[in-house]
Amino acid sequence: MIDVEGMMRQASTRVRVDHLVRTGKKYVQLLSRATIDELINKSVQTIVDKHRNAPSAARIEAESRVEFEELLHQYQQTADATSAVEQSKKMLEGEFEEIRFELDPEGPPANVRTAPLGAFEDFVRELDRQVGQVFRVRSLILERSGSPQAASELSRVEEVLRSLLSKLVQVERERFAVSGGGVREIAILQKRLEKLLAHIATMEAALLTLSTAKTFSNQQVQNLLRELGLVQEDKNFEKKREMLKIVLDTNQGIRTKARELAARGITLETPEERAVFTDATASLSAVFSRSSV
Amino acid sequence: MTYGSSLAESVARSSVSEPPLRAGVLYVGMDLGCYKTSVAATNGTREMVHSIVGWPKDPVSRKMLGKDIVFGNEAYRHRLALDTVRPFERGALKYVDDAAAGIPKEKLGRYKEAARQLVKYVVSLCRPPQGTLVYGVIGSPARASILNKQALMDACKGTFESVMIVSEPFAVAYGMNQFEDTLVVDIGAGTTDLCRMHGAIPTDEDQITIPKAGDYIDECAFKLIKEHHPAARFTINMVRDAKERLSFVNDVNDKAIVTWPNQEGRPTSFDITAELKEACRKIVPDIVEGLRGLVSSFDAEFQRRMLQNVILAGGGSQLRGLDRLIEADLQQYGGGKVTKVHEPDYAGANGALKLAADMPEQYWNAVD
Repeated sequence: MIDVEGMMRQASTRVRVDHLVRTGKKYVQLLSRATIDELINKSVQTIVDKHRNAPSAARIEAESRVEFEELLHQYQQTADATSAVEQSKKMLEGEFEEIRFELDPEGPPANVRTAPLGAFEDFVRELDRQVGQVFRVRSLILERSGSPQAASELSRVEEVLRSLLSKLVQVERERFAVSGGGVREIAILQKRLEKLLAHIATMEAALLTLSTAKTFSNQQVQNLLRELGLVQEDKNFEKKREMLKIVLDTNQGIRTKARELAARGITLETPEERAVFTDATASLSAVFSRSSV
Repeated sequence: MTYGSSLAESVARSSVSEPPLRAGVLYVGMDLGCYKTSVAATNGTREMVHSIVGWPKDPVSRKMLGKDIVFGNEAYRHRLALDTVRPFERGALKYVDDAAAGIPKEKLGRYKEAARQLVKYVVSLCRPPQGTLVYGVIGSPARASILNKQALMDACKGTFESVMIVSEPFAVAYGMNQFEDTLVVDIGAGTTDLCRMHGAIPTDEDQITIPKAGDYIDECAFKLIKEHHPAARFTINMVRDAKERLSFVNDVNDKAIVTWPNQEGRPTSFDITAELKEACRKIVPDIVEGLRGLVSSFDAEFQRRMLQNVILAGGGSQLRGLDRLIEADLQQYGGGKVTKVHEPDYAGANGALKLAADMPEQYWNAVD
């Protein structure tokens, strides 16, 4: 029990009657201390009972459980979404690696951007420099040895060799030009690489958002997945899935039944069954009642 | 907050409903028509050819053509120099037995071979790279029998790694995402197929095949023109050509005037408007009757809705005014709304291709 009387004494203020009259209050409603005491005790008891009784506790527990399960469900779905994004990212990375390997099976990715035609021209220039250097050195040696005939012979050899090399280079250059499709393919692969890299970066950003955000809204997550191309809404999805399954079953059935009919010697040449025609004059009920073999 | 479920579904859907098309696989949708065959493939190919195969009649024609077998439009162009076979004419192989199609027994093998070669040729038009697997969905008449469907599968053997058969009107509906409260009318050359879509795959009870379509119109028109213009010299192919260019079924002031040779061989103008119109109108009562049958045997609550969504597909749907004529005839059943598909010639092949592309990989393995 609560000491209502004592509490009221402590909390209340003593006021003289003439003071009340002066402030315009002519009538005062009286409530005994005992009645106040009773009312307060009753209301406290009601509240306590309300929270003590068994059905309320069960309801609170049930509600808590529902709330907990919903939160757990949300967590699981978010984890699923994260896993879907991670899976997509892995697939993209795999594709990225494949393209990189196609572009350059040995070298690092930086080499990918080297222009092959430019490399070929560099090679030709280097070859020319090396040949020139070799003949210059030989020519100097021969000049010092005092053999002008040998020097002129060397000059003739250089001419022949340069002519041969020139032809060889021309053939190689043409071969390179013919395989121009390869260059185009490389350019396409490079573009795909860039696109994949951009997509992987977006995926990573999305993963970061999913793993660090404390609260999600369905709209936010849906938007995120839509941007990543992971959500393709199809309102007929369930129907299509069922229909495709039935198409499969029907086709398996056709094969099985055709085999059975063939075993019984029934073929198109010697049929026992016929397709169903519907004529304007024919009774539709006959059509509906028939089941084709 | 229950966003989780929708999120999971959508993520799962992205991987199931739209399977990434496998590298090294070409998916093909084909509408093997009695008169023309259309094909669509996942590499973007779309072709339509005459369903005709020809073998040179003699060494001279072989030398002229430079090949032992000729297909499609080329065979149609040089048909006089060839022994031609239309493997699916009058519903042969596709929906009737050989006797009903009028194929002599000794020629049956030739028809089957022609069908096989035609399928091979049509797939080659899709240019599948060497080593590519080819998976296909083929349209068949709605009420074709098991034997006919098996005959189509046999024709595909050796060309497709795996093949599935679906009804033509269903393929049209699938291609258009029309799964509910829809009536599809696919008017081909040999058959008119009707199908009601009610949210599930159509069963036999949901489909009707009427053996009156483009060929029937041609034959009727041929007889009528012969009767009314005895001086005109023409063939069934000339009638078909005139029908495709000039036909209409509604009451307009257009005229169908053709220039054909007369008895003396002089080019002469003939007005065949009335004959063509009468012939074209002959298929309408059967279509309306078929629609009525499909609607009346359906749940009464949804009948009105179904009649409001009648879709016309196939080459025959290109007859001008056919939609309005069917609408007018449907007035006796409370009216209806009839629309034409945008690409009547490819609607079946496009739908079949969509089915093929949506089909999970394991399903292909289960039927190959």
